[in-house]
Amino acid sequence: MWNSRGARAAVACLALSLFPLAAVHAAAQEQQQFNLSKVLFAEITDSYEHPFARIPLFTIGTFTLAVSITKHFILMTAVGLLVLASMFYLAYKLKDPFRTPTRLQSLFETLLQYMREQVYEPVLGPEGRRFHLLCFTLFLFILYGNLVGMIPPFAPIKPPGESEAVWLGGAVTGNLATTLALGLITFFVFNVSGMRAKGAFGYWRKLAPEGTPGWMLPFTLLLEFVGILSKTLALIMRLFANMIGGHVALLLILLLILKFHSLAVGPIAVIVDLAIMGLELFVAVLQAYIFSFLSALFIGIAQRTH
Amino acid sequence: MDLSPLVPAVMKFAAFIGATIGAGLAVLGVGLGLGRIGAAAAEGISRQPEASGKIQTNMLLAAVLVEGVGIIALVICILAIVM
Repeated sequence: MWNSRGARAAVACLALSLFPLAAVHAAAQEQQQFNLSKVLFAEITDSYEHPFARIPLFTIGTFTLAVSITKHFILMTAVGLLVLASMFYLAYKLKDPFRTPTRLQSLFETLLQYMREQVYEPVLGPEGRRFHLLCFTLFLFILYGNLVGMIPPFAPIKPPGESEAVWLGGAVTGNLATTLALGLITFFVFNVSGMRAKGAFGYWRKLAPEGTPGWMLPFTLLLEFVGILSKTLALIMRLFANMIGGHVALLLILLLILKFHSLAVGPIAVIVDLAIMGLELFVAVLQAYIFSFLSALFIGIAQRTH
Repeated sequence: MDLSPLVPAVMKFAAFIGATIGAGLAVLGVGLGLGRIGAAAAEGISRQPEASGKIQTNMLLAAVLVEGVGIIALVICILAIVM
Protein backbone atom coordinates (compact mmCIF):
# COMPACT_ATOMS: atom_id res chain seq x y z
CA MET A 1 0.00 0.00 0.00
CA TRP A 2 2.66 2.48 0.93
CA ASN A 3 4.84 2.40 -2.13
CA SER A 4 7.89 4.63 -2.02
CA ARG A 5 6.59 7.33 -4.39
CA GLY A 6 3.34 7.77 -2.50
CA ALA A 7 5.15 7.84 0.84
CA ARG A 8 7.61 10.45 -0.42
CA ALA A 9 4.81 12.64 -1.78
CA ALA A 10 2.90 12.40 1.49
CA VAL A 11 5.94 13.32 3.56
CA ALA A 12 6.68 16.25 1.22
CA CYS A 13 3.12 17.58 1.55
CA LEU A 14 3.24 17.26 5.33
CA ALA A 15 6.59 19.04 5.51
CA LEU A 16 5.42 21.83 3.22
CA SER A 17 2.32 22.38 5.29
CA LEU A 18 4.40 22.78 8.44
CA PHE A 19 6.55 25.63 7.16
CA PRO A 20 3.87 28.34 7.35
CA LEU A 21 3.03 27.14 10.85
CA ALA A 22 6.65 27.64 11.86
CA ALA A 23 6.51 31.25 10.70
CA VAL A 24 3.27 31.86 12.57
CA HIS A 25 4.56 30.18 15.73
CA ALA A 26 7.70 32.28 15.75
CA ALA A 27 5.64 35.42 15.26
CA ALA A 28 3.41 34.44 18.13
CA GLN A 29 6.40 34.22 20.44
CA GLU A 30 6.53 38.02 20.66
CA GLN A 31 4.63 39.14 23.68
CA GLN A 32 3.62 42.55 22.45
CA GLN A 33 0.21 43.47 21.12
CA PHE A 34 -0.39 41.82 17.75
CA ASN A 35 -0.72 44.39 14.99
CA LEU A 36 -1.94 42.66 11.86
CA SER A 37 -1.03 45.27 9.30
CA LYS A 38 2.46 45.68 10.76
CA VAL A 39 3.23 41.97 10.46
CA LEU A 40 1.70 41.87 6.99
CA PHE A 41 3.74 44.79 5.78
CA ALA A 42 6.94 43.45 7.30
CA GLU A 43 6.44 40.20 5.44
CA ILE A 44 5.63 41.64 2.03
CA THR A 45 7.55 44.86 1.61
CA ASP A 46 11.26 45.37 1.50
CA SER A 47 13.08 45.84 4.78
CA TYR A 48 14.33 49.29 3.86
CA GLU A 49 14.43 50.58 7.42
CA HIS A 50 16.54 47.68 8.66
CA PRO A 51 19.12 46.99 6.00
CA PHE A 52 21.83 44.41 6.39
CA ALA A 53 24.48 46.90 5.37
CA ARG A 54 24.72 50.37 3.94
CA ILE A 55 27.42 51.13 1.42
CA PRO A 56 27.58 54.91 0.95
CA LEU A 57 28.32 56.00 -2.59
CA PHE A 58 28.60 59.76 -2.43
CA THR A 59 27.44 62.65 -0.30
CA ILE A 60 26.09 65.99 -1.47
CA GLY A 61 25.64 68.28 1.54
CA THR A 62 23.33 66.42 3.85
CA PHE A 63 22.05 64.00 1.22
CA THR A 64 23.86 60.66 1.11
CA LEU A 65 23.26 58.20 -1.68
CA ALA A 66 23.88 54.74 -0.28
CA VAL A 67 23.29 51.24 -1.49
CA SER A 68 21.42 49.47 1.28
CA ILE A 69 21.62 45.71 1.21
CA THR A 70 18.07 44.80 2.10
CA LYS A 71 16.06 41.62 1.97
CA HIS A 72 15.00 42.07 -1.64
CA PHE A 73 18.55 42.94 -2.66
CA ILE A 74 19.81 39.59 -1.38
CA LEU A 75 16.91 37.69 -2.94
CA MET A 76 17.34 39.46 -6.27
CA THR A 77 21.04 38.61 -6.33
CA ALA A 78 20.21 34.99 -5.61
CA VAL A 79 17.63 34.95 -8.42
CA GLY A 80 20.08 36.52 -10.86
CA LEU A 81 22.75 33.98 -9.96
CA LEU A 82 20.21 31.19 -10.46
CA VAL A 83 19.38 32.46 -13.94
CA LEU A 84 23.07 32.57 -14.84
CA ALA A 85 23.71 29.16 -13.31
CA SER A 86 20.86 27.48 -15.14
CA MET A 87 21.92 28.83 -18.50
CA PHE A 88 25.58 27.97 -17.89
CA TYR A 89 24.47 24.46 -16.98
CA LEU A 90 22.54 24.18 -20.24
CA ALA A 91 25.48 25.49 -22.27
CA TYR A 92 27.86 23.07 -20.55
CA LYS A 93 25.58 20.15 -21.28
CA LEU A 94 25.20 21.22 -24.90
CA LYS A 95 28.93 21.12 -25.53
CA ASP A 96 28.53 17.40 -26.17
CA PRO A 97 25.17 17.17 -27.91
CA PHE A 98 25.25 13.45 -28.44
CA ARG A 99 25.11 12.44 -24.80
CA THR A 100 21.72 11.40 -23.47
CA PRO A 101 20.20 14.57 -22.03
CA THR A 102 19.47 14.65 -18.33
CA ARG A 103 16.01 15.57 -17.11
CA LEU A 104 16.95 19.09 -16.07
CA GLN A 105 18.70 19.69 -19.36
CA SER A 106 15.74 18.54 -21.40
CA LEU A 107 13.47 20.70 -19.26
CA PHE A 108 15.48 23.79 -20.12
CA GLU A 109 15.77 22.76 -23.75
CA THR A 110 12.03 22.23 -24.09
CA LEU A 111 11.33 25.55 -22.40
CA LEU A 112 13.73 27.45 -24.64
CA GLN A 113 12.50 25.77 -27.80
CA TYR A 114 8.86 26.29 -26.92
CA MET A 115 9.33 29.98 -26.13
CA ARG A 116 11.35 30.48 -29.28
CA GLU A 117 9.07 28.71 -31.75
CA GLN A 118 5.62 29.32 -30.35
CA VAL A 119 5.96 32.67 -28.68
CA TYR A 120 8.82 34.78 -30.01
CA GLU A 121 9.04 33.74 -33.68
CA PRO A 122 5.41 34.51 -34.55
CA VAL A 123 5.47 37.96 -33.00
CA LEU A 124 9.03 39.10 -33.67
CA GLY A 125 9.52 37.67 -37.11
CA PRO A 126 12.76 36.47 -38.67
CA GLU A 127 14.50 39.85 -38.41
CA GLY A 128 13.77 40.11 -34.70
CA ARG A 129 16.05 37.26 -33.66
CA ARG A 130 18.27 39.55 -31.63
CA PHE A 131 15.43 40.21 -29.20
CA HIS A 132 14.95 36.56 -28.28
CA LEU A 133 17.73 36.83 -25.71
CA LEU A 134 16.20 39.81 -23.91
CA CYS A 135 12.73 38.32 -23.78
CA PHE A 136 13.94 34.94 -22.55
CA THR A 137 16.10 36.58 -19.90
CA LEU A 138 13.08 38.54 -18.69
CA PHE A 139 11.10 35.29 -18.64
CA LEU A 140 13.68 33.39 -16.61
CA PHE A 141 14.29 36.24 -14.16
CA ILE A 142 10.59 36.74 -13.46
CA LEU A 143 9.94 33.01 -13.29
CA TYR A 144 12.71 32.37 -10.79
CA GLY A 145 11.82 35.52 -8.86
CA ASN A 146 8.20 34.44 -8.51
CA LEU A 147 9.09 30.87 -7.58
CA VAL A 148 11.71 31.89 -5.00
CA GLY A 149 9.07 34.17 -3.51
CA MET A 150 6.86 31.15 -2.93
CA ILE A 151 9.37 29.65 -0.50
CA PRO A 152 8.21 30.59 3.00
CA PRO A 153 10.76 32.29 5.24
CA PHE A 154 12.12 29.82 7.74
CA ALA A 155 13.35 32.03 10.55
CA PRO A 156 13.94 35.71 11.21
CA ILE A 157 17.46 36.92 10.70
CA LYS A 158 18.74 39.81 12.75
CA PRO A 159 20.78 42.21 10.66
CA PRO A 160 23.95 43.30 12.46
CA GLY A 161 23.43 46.56 14.28
CA GLU A 162 19.67 46.66 13.79
CA SER A 163 16.94 46.21 16.34
CA GLU A 164 14.31 44.21 14.49
CA ALA A 165 14.65 40.86 12.84
CA VAL A 166 13.95 40.43 9.18
CA TRP A 167 12.16 37.54 7.51
CA LEU A 168 14.00 36.53 4.36
CA GLY A 169 10.84 35.88 2.38
CA GLY A 170 8.45 37.55 0.01
CA ALA A 171 8.74 37.80 -3.72
CA VAL A 172 11.33 39.93 -5.44
CA THR A 173 8.78 40.79 -8.10
CA GLY A 174 6.34 41.84 -5.39
CA ASN A 175 8.37 45.01 -5.07
CA LEU A 176 7.06 47.85 -7.21
CA ALA A 177 10.60 49.06 -7.84
CA THR A 178 11.62 45.74 -9.39
CA THR A 179 8.66 45.53 -11.73
CA LEU A 180 9.05 49.21 -12.57
CA ALA A 181 12.65 48.55 -13.61
CA LEU A 182 11.63 45.55 -15.73
CA GLY A 183 8.84 47.53 -17.37
CA LEU A 184 11.17 50.42 -18.09
CA ILE A 185 13.63 48.03 -19.74
CA THR A 186 10.86 46.87 -22.07
CA PHE A 187 9.72 50.47 -22.66
CA PHE A 188 13.16 51.67 -23.65
CA VAL A 189 13.94 48.63 -25.78
CA PHE A 190 10.81 48.79 -27.82
CA ASN A 191 10.89 52.54 -28.32
CA VAL A 192 14.58 52.69 -29.17
CA SER A 193 14.37 49.69 -31.49
CA GLY A 194 11.35 51.24 -33.20
CA MET A 195 13.22 54.50 -33.65
CA ARG A 196 16.21 52.65 -35.07
CA ALA A 197 14.03 50.70 -37.49
CA LYS A 198 11.88 53.55 -38.71
CA GLY A 199 13.88 56.70 -38.07
CA ALA A 200 13.81 58.91 -35.01
CA PHE A 201 10.81 61.00 -36.04
CA GLY A 202 9.35 58.49 -38.47
CA TYR A 203 8.60 56.11 -35.61
CA TRP A 204 6.48 58.65 -33.78
CA ARG A 205 4.79 59.78 -36.97
CA LYS A 206 4.02 56.24 -38.06
CA LEU A 207 2.20 55.52 -34.82
CA ALA A 208 -0.88 56.85 -36.56
CA PRO A 209 -2.09 54.55 -39.34
CA GLU A 210 -1.69 55.39 -43.00
CA GLY A 211 -4.92 57.02 -44.04
CA THR A 212 -5.64 59.42 -41.19
CA PRO A 213 -6.68 62.90 -42.36
CA GLY A 214 -4.43 65.79 -41.34
CA TRP A 215 -6.78 67.28 -38.78
CA MET A 216 -7.02 64.01 -36.88
CA LEU A 217 -3.28 63.46 -36.72
CA PRO A 218 -2.55 65.19 -33.38
CA PHE A 219 -5.38 63.37 -31.61
CA THR A 220 -4.39 60.00 -33.00
CA LEU A 221 -0.76 60.54 -32.09
CA LEU A 222 -1.70 61.64 -28.59
CA LEU A 223 -3.93 58.61 -28.18
CA GLU A 224 -1.22 56.27 -29.43
CA PHE A 225 1.37 57.80 -27.11
CA VAL A 226 -0.94 57.49 -24.12
CA GLY A 227 -1.58 53.93 -25.28
CA ILE A 228 2.13 53.16 -25.18
CA LEU A 229 2.41 54.59 -21.66
CA SER A 230 -0.65 52.76 -20.42
CA LYS A 231 0.45 49.45 -21.93
CA THR A 232 3.79 49.76 -20.13
CA LEU A 233 2.07 50.75 -16.90
CA ALA A 234 -0.30 47.79 -17.18
CA LEU A 235 2.68 45.49 -17.74
CA ILE A 236 4.35 46.80 -14.58
CA MET A 237 1.26 46.76 -12.41
CA ARG A 238 0.02 43.37 -13.58
CA LEU A 239 3.12 41.54 -12.39
CA PHE A 240 3.31 43.50 -9.14
CA ALA A 241 -0.38 43.13 -8.33
CA ASN A 242 -0.46 39.40 -9.05
CA MET A 243 2.47 38.67 -6.77
CA ILE A 244 1.32 41.00 -3.98
CA GLY A 245 -2.25 39.73 -4.16
CA GLY A 246 -1.14 36.13 -3.81
CA HIS A 247 1.10 36.83 -0.83
CA VAL A 248 -1.49 39.00 0.90
CA ALA A 249 -4.12 36.28 0.52
CA LEU A 250 -1.78 33.62 1.92
CA LEU A 251 -0.65 35.73 4.87
CA LEU A 252 -4.10 37.02 5.79
CA ILE A 253 -5.46 33.51 6.15
CA LEU A 254 -2.50 32.49 8.27
CA LEU A 255 -2.62 35.60 10.42
CA LEU A 256 -6.24 34.77 11.25
CA ILE A 257 -4.75 32.16 13.58
CA LEU A 258 -3.07 34.88 15.58
CA LYS A 259 -6.07 37.16 15.42
CA PHE A 260 -8.36 34.59 16.95
CA HIS A 261 -5.77 33.47 19.50
CA SER A 262 -6.75 29.85 19.03
CA LEU A 263 -5.01 26.86 17.53
CA ALA A 264 -8.24 25.32 16.25
CA VAL A 265 -8.13 27.62 13.23
CA GLY A 266 -4.72 26.18 12.40
CA PRO A 267 -5.50 23.08 10.30
CA ILE A 268 -8.27 24.81 8.36
CA ALA A 269 -6.03 27.78 7.59
CA VAL A 270 -3.17 25.59 6.45
CA ILE A 271 -5.38 23.49 4.16
CA VAL A 272 -6.95 26.56 2.58
CA ASP A 273 -3.46 27.99 2.20
CA LEU A 274 -2.28 24.87 0.41
CA ALA A 275 -5.02 25.34 -2.16
CA ILE A 276 -4.16 29.02 -2.60
CA MET A 277 -0.47 28.10 -2.86
CA GLY A 278 -1.25 25.78 -5.77
CA LEU A 279 -3.03 28.63 -7.55
CA GLU A 280 -0.11 30.92 -6.77
CA LEU A 281 2.41 28.54 -8.33
CA PHE A 282 0.34 28.46 -11.51
CA VAL A 283 0.02 32.24 -11.49
CA ALA A 284 3.80 32.61 -10.98
CA VAL A 285 4.64 30.69 -14.14
CA LEU A 286 1.82 32.28 -16.11
CA GLN A 287 2.76 35.86 -15.18
CA ALA A 288 6.37 35.29 -16.24
CA TYR A 289 5.16 33.93 -19.57
CA ILE A 290 2.75 36.84 -20.06
CA PHE A 291 5.39 39.49 -19.26
CA SER A 292 7.91 38.13 -21.72
CA PHE A 293 5.27 37.47 -24.38
CA LEU A 294 3.91 41.03 -24.12
CA SER A 295 7.46 42.45 -24.24
CA ALA A 296 8.10 40.50 -27.43
CA LEU A 297 4.74 41.62 -28.80
CA PHE A 298 5.44 45.31 -28.16
CA ILE A 299 8.90 45.04 -29.74
CA GLY A 300 7.39 43.29 -32.74
CA ILE A 301 4.71 45.96 -33.12
CA ALA A 302 7.31 48.71 -32.90
CA GLN A 303 9.47 47.08 -35.55
CA ARG A 304 6.82 46.32 -38.11
CA THR A 305 5.34 48.72 -40.59
CA HIS A 306 1.60 48.36 -40.41
CA MET B 1 -21.06 70.94 18.22
CA ASP B 2 -17.46 70.07 17.48
CA LEU B 3 -17.32 67.18 15.05
CA SER B 4 -13.57 67.24 14.37
CA PRO B 5 -12.62 64.33 16.69
CA LEU B 6 -14.90 62.14 14.58
CA VAL B 7 -13.08 62.90 11.32
CA PRO B 8 -10.43 60.13 11.45
CA ALA B 9 -13.06 57.52 12.31
CA VAL B 10 -15.36 58.73 9.52
CA MET B 11 -12.49 58.64 7.05
CA LYS B 12 -11.60 55.10 8.05
CA PHE B 13 -15.25 54.10 7.76
CA ALA B 14 -15.57 55.71 4.32
CA ALA B 15 -12.34 54.07 3.19
CA PHE B 16 -13.64 50.65 4.20
CA ILE B 17 -16.95 51.11 2.43
CA GLY B 18 -15.31 52.47 -0.72
CA ALA B 19 -12.72 49.72 -0.82
CA THR B 20 -15.17 46.86 -0.38
CA ILE B 21 -17.65 48.21 -2.92
CA GLY B 22 -14.77 48.79 -5.33
CA ALA B 23 -13.48 45.26 -4.84
CA GLY B 24 -16.93 43.84 -5.48
CA LEU B 25 -17.34 45.83 -8.67
CA ALA B 26 -13.88 44.80 -9.87
CA VAL B 27 -14.68 41.12 -9.33
CA LEU B 28 -17.98 41.64 -11.14
CA GLY B 29 -16.21 42.97 -14.22
CA VAL B 30 -13.58 40.23 -14.17
CA GLY B 31 -16.21 37.53 -13.78
CA LEU B 32 -18.21 38.77 -16.77
CA GLY B 33 -15.11 39.11 -18.91
CA LEU B 34 -13.71 35.68 -18.11
CA GLY B 35 -17.09 34.08 -18.63
CA ARG B 36 -17.31 35.47 -22.12
CA ILE B 37 -13.77 34.36 -22.90
CA GLY B 38 -14.48 30.84 -21.71
CA ALA B 39 -17.73 30.67 -23.66
CA ALA B 40 -16.08 31.81 -26.89
CA ALA B 41 -13.23 29.33 -26.40
CA ALA B 42 -15.61 26.44 -25.72
CA GLU B 43 -17.64 27.28 -28.82
CA GLY B 44 -14.51 27.48 -30.93
CA ILE B 45 -13.29 24.11 -29.71
CA SER B 46 -16.70 22.56 -30.33
CA ARG B 47 -16.70 23.82 -33.90
CA GLN B 48 -13.19 22.63 -34.70
CA PRO B 49 -11.74 20.15 -32.20
CA GLU B 50 -8.39 19.87 -33.96
CA ALA B 51 -7.63 23.55 -33.28
CA SER B 52 -8.18 23.08 -29.55
CA GLY B 53 -4.49 23.61 -28.68
CA LYS B 54 -4.30 27.03 -30.29
CA ILE B 55 -7.70 28.05 -28.93
CA GLN B 56 -6.66 27.05 -25.43
CA THR B 57 -3.44 29.07 -25.65
CA ASN B 58 -5.28 32.17 -26.81
CA MET B 59 -7.95 31.72 -24.18
CA LEU B 60 -5.33 31.60 -21.43
CA LEU B 61 -3.62 34.68 -22.80
CA ALA B 62 -6.84 36.72 -22.89
CA ALA B 63 -7.82 35.43 -19.44
CA VAL B 64 -4.54 36.58 -17.91
CA LEU B 65 -4.90 40.05 -19.43
CA VAL B 66 -8.45 40.50 -18.12
CA GLU B 67 -7.51 39.08 -14.73
CA GLY B 68 -4.53 41.43 -14.52
CA VAL B 69 -6.75 44.49 -14.76
CA GLY B 70 -9.03 43.13 -12.03
CA ILE B 71 -6.13 42.41 -9.73
CA ILE B 72 -4.76 45.92 -10.25
CA ALA B 73 -8.12 47.27 -9.05
CA LEU B 74 -7.99 44.94 -6.03
CA VAL B 75 -4.54 46.19 -5.08
CA ILE B 76 -5.86 49.74 -5.17
CA CYS B 77 -8.68 48.66 -2.82
CA ILE B 78 -6.17 47.11 -0.42
CA LEU B 79 -4.22 50.35 -0.59
CA ALA B 80 -7.36 52.31 0.32
CA ILE B 81 -7.95 50.18 3.38
CA VAL B 82 -4.39 50.24 4.58
CA MET B 83 -3.71 53.92 4.06
